[in-house]
Amino acid sequence: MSARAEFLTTLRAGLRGAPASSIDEIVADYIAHFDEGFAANRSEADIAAALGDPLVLADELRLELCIGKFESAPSPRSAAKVIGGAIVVGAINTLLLCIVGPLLALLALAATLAILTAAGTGVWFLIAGASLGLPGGIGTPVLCGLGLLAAAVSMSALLLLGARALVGGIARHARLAYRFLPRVSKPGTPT
Amino acid sequence: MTEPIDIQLKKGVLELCVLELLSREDGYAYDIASRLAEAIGMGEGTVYPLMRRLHTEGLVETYFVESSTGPARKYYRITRAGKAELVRERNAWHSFTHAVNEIVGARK
Repeated sequence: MSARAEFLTTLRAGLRGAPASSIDEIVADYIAHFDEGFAANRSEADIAAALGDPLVLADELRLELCIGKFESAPSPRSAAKVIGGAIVVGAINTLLLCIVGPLLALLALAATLAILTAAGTGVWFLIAGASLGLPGGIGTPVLCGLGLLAAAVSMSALLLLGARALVGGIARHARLAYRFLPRVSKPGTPT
Repeated sequence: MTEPIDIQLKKGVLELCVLELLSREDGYAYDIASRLAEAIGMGEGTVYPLMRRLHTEGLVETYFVESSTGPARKYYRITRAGKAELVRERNAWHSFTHAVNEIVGARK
């Protein structure tokens, strides 16, 4: 296989899972690069070596696609992909992830429990409120119930906002950590 | 992550260099890549993920120009937002290098 075909095949393999149209667009950029280099009398092997490791480039490009997806349509799925991509390019320290990850998960779990409890109690107040015989008549349990439900809704909103800001922060950080492949002057000899 | 210091430094200024080049004239990726490879020793492939990111962030836009020799060439043009970002990064670069030179340059 020629150096050009090998580079493009490896790049495609590394991009597997990304939308087909994006893969074609990216590969077209690199094909154009080979054409330009060839027109400038460079050998395919030289051009491929100067481009760098196609798998490293693919990780970078895939992360970029994931971040774009997350920013245009934030969802748990696209958020997970951003975090996964950030780990692949080495933007997140794995040790740090092992410590902070469970802590954040615990925090999210606690927040979810608090939200469910507030919502549950609120509903209970609304349903069983009349039979409680609280001072102030029917108004007291209804207001308590509505208040707790509102609190649950606002806590959920805060939790979502927090999660989104966190993933956004990870994305920004990962973009800064993208890898700089040093120049390779001749095939196989790193400078 | 332990990388040689020069790689870390170059990584930081790559975006600034690309925006600076594009602010002078529109360019195509191969040209930008080979200029930066020459000037700051960057692997030519690095420019493509970067161009994609600048495009997603709206700092550059692309258009195609028909070529007499081969297929149409994709050109990058800096946007208004890109120019604003360039000014920010350029200022940061000048004040940073000035501050570092005050410390490093003083030692003979």
